[in-house]
Amino acid sequence: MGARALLEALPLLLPGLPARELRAGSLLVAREVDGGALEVRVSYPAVVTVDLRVVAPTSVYSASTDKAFKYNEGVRFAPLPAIMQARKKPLDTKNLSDLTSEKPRIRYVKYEAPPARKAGSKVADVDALLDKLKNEAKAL
Amino acid sequence: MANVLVVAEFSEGKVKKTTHSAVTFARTAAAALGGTYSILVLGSNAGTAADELSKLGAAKVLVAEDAKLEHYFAETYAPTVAAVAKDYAVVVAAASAFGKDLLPRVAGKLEAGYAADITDVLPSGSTLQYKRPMYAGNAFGICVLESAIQVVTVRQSAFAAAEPSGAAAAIEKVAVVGGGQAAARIEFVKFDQVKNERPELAEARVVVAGGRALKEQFYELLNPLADTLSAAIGASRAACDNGYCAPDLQVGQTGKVVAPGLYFAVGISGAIQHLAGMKSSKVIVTINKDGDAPIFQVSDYGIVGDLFKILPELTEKLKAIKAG
Repeated sequence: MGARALLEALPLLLPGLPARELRAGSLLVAREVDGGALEVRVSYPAVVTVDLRVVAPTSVYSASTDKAFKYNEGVRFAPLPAIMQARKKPLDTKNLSDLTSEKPRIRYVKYEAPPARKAGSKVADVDALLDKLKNEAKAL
Repeated sequence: MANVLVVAEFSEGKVKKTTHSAVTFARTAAAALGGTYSILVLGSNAGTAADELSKLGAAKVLVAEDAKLEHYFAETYAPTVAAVAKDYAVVVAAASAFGKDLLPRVAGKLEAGYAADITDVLPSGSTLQYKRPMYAGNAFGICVLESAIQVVTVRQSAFAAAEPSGAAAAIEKVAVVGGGQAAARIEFVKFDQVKNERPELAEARVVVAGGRALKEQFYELLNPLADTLSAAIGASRAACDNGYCAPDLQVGQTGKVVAPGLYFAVGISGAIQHLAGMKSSKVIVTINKDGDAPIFQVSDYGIVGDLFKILPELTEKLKAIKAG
């Protein structure tokens, strides 16, 4: 399937939060948007991105996970044997031109450094800060 | 025809301020291309926004109204935007959560070039060059898009809000195009709204932002200061991820980009991703117990000390100033 056809067919959720429930054929996900949290159901196939909270102890359940099961808090490390096995997998290098004939549609003509911001001064206490804000920066 | 299409952001019966920044871009771009600009608004009751939008100096206001558009999804909105965009040279929206979600899909459907989060537009002959931040704001790239239709999102803080101007524009209905397979695979379940009485973070004149150091006392400490200054509250990613505050308060590369007149960074060390979202603020004030924190390198004024003592004192003294 070409990139365009994929786009026509697939919903994309960005950035997804922990999947609440996996069901045959669909996925219920919570998504943070401006002003609240949105829950949507997507049916497969779909593309979902997740943020780091997806590894919380009760974030993900599949049909075969016991409902009472909890993962450990924090990062889930891959077991050493799995890491060793992964290292032995063949790496297949492909040229970009083999994968797509599309040309980039964006071309950079030049680059610029952003205006530098000068570090300001440290003030001793709140009174000094308010004095500076009022009289020097006129920000109040 | 080298005309510009602005996609308006409209929710809960209101046109979002972000739209006005996109209109400012459209005025510059249309002038450079020798064309006009039109505004497209979508939604289940988008017609109610048409009057307000018609005062912004556009050639036309296009309304796509359909019950299917009640809940925003890129999958359901993009086909209509793409269909309308076929008659335009440039499609623009603000780089808000809405624009950053919708326009890439529109660009994909049109097989158009896409420049995200631009901070400036530089007309060069009859082509437009776009300036956009790269590498977390450590460089600016100036790019051109080489496709028949160009799609851009603009950084709200870099484009002033457009004032109403000119005669009222004609209002036209446009057909809503079905979303196809992708839209059929996504279904609205529910939306838990969090009420926020404060000014919008991206538009506020003063922003009070807190970091991980505030812990569970995030709101307890920042609310009084924000109330005193009529400020919006922002946060670092660490504070959001730890659940000390709402996730949409995040300021930074992956959150909101703000450029208020006055920015307070309280208990924020100043990771480069955070700086990317607030470095353009006019005056930056830092309160941090670590005098070597990188945030001090971009601050105008800093106090090294315990924020749990300094913040209440600052709030009290500011209240006194405002009252006096």
